[in-house]
Amino acid sequence: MKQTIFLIALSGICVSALAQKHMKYEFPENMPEHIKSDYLEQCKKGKILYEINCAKCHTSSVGRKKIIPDFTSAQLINYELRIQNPKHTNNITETTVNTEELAMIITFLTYKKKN
Amino acid sequence: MRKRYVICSILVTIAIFIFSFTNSQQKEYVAYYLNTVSTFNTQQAALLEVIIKADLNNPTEVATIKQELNNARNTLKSVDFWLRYLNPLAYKKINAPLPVEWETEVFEKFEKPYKREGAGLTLLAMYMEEGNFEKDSMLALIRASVAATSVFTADSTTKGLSEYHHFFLCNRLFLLNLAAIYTTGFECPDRERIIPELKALLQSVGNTNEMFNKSFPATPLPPKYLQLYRAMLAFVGDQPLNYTLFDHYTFLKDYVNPLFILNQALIARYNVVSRSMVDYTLNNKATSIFDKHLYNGQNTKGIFLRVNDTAALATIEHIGKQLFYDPLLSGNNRRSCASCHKPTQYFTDTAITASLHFDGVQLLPRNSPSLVNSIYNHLLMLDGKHYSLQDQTKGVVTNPNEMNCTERELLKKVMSCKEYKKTLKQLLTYTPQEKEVTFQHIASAINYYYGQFSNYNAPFDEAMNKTADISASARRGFNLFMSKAQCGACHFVPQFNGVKPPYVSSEFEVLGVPADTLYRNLSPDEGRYVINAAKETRNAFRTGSIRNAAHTKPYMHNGVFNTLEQVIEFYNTGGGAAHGLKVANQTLSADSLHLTAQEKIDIISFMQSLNEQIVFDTPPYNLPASKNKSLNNRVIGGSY
Ligand code: HEC
Repeated sequence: MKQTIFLIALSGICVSALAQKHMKYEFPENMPEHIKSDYLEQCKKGKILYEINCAKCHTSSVGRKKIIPDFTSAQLINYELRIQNPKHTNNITETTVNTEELAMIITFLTYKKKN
Repeated sequence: MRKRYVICSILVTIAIFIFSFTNSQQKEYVAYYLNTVSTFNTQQAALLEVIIKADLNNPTEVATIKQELNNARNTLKSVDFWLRYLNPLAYKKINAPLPVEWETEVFEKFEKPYKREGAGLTLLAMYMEEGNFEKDSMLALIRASVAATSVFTADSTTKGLSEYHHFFLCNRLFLLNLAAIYTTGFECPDRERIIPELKALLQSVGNTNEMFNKSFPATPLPPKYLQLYRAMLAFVGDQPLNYTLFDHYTFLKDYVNPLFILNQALIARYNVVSRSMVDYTLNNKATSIFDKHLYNGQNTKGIFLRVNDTAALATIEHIGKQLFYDPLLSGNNRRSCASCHKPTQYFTDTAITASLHFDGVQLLPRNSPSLVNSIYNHLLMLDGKHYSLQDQTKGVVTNPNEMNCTERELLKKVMSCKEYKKTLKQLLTYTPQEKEVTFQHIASAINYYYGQFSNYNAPFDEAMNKTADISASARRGFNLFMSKAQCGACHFVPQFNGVKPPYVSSEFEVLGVPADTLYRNLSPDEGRYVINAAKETRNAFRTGSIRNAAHTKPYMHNGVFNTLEQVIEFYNTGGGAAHGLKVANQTLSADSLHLTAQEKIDIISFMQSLNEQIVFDTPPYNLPASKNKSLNNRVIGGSY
């Protein structure tokens, strides 16, 4: 039962991920190509992890469009994010998002094209 | 209409009244805090004054300094409850014991370890103990401590004090420190002051409790808690002042742990939320200090961390077990994890001093550690090279001296087995960020498999949780462990490893372990130095857990000792330095512990009470068949 719910939730996430397939990223111009492609890889994973862990509280809808907020780099500090507010303390724990994953989410949020 | 208006305004007035009343009550608590910090500052100023004026060649004046220092340390005890929690870094300028250490906290994972020197009142106390009087450095210590204290009156620090949340979190840390360090002399170089300082501490926290209850009547410490707290005060009041005669066992079992349990229940009941890194690894659901889930060490699920479905977890565990025993993981298909970590020998190898090299002839420099309870370390390997179990797994399979494989080759071989491939592909649904099976999936399954064996309790845990009892000898052994034998100052309650409250970092120590039992040479292994080169880290090793020690011989990083008696004798004498080895930076005291024969027996009884009642399983009957036929005569568990 739990598994089906999980799978339904997952497929929902996948569908919404597909809907936003054309996510655009903005990297600094002078960033070397190989680093850029590395970051792009991280961003793609980060986006999926964002959908799983953060979207329910942070993605808003305007009509059919989903809006992922533009956070500043000062707001996106790995460990501090976890204790930023009570909702985070209870929801962004080592058992739901590990350090490496949170880093990918942060990379995604940092380089996604601003709204 | 009018009536409603009147009622409404009355209600509003009452609400405003209540609000301002509670507000002023909380102000009282904050004022109490500020007042106590200011008393501490006055006391530090008095200490500075006497040091400035003192003639350090005059014993009476030195005695006066000592007296003022004791007073300052006692007033520190009245604010310790808050300061330690509110700003751990500033606190370390006020109270930091030697030796100099390189701290690596879990949130420093992406940064370099930072150096912590001895500081403040504790270091001054050490200087006084050693008769090392140098006025300028004494003054510098206290001035730095005074400067650090000013952090604690800044608005940014005090703003959390007007809400009740911080109190239960400070209290949790306080109770954990009561369990792990306050009675061991960890921060109190003068042994005779340990219990008197404990008494001062308990007394002032008792006052803080009352003040809190007055100011926060909606979220009080219940009568049951206060009653037990008073009983603890009475108990400690009746105890001898000598920390070796102090009954650490009863103190922990009948008072500290039950208070911790009550405090955890309050954290849940009052929905206490943390805004501090101090609580980072602590688990709000832990029901005892001796609950294996007290803190989060390693994430055994790895990439599967969000999987909670029992069927999926059983699948992960099943292939994890097969992979653990599968020599496919090595470059020559002849070694598996089980080659060196024998599951029936507490996941270590008790027959050999150090593990076999990949070449099957030479020995590696280090003894393979037990995997049981490795999940309660923040840094893995004896030199703390790895941050996560998954990285460690990668490290060992790719190490040319150990399993000598590569990530790619390993993945290819594993995926050549139909059964592995099918299961791993199925599990991909749980990791949507990964399109293909990666090495991480394989490592995570292995880590999850052996991680299960760290969930068992020992008789000592059961005694602490009051579900069983241990022998009188083991109880005496624990009391010695926490006092005269000085073990507890490095092997911290409750895992008895190098992770101390708030359980966010791992400690390393330099013991001067010899290369052989004749003490001809120091072990040439540089330990932590290889990872973080500094003069303090040369020959330093991460403190391991002593749980199951009776079953995990041989001992020390190089397996030089074969019995617990030898290990105790090593410590009793004072480590390598006391045996004439040149160990410039030994962190273990080189003085003899003067343990009697009976005391050594008692300490061993205590260690035996830490043997966990683990249910080991048997090897898998077969390993998945590979498309590559030449791989199909591989030996389950490897051939060497
Ligand atoms: C359970 C709900 C919830 C979840 C899940 C959640 N957040 Fe938040 N987050 C919040 C709330 C509430 C705030 C505070 C909003 C405000 O202050 O206006 C917040 C604030 C933030 C901020 C702003 C911090 C600041 O400095 O003001 C960032 C950045 C952020 N969240 C990132 C994340 C990321 C990344 C994730 C996923 C890993 C996440 N959040 C998951 C509820 C959530």
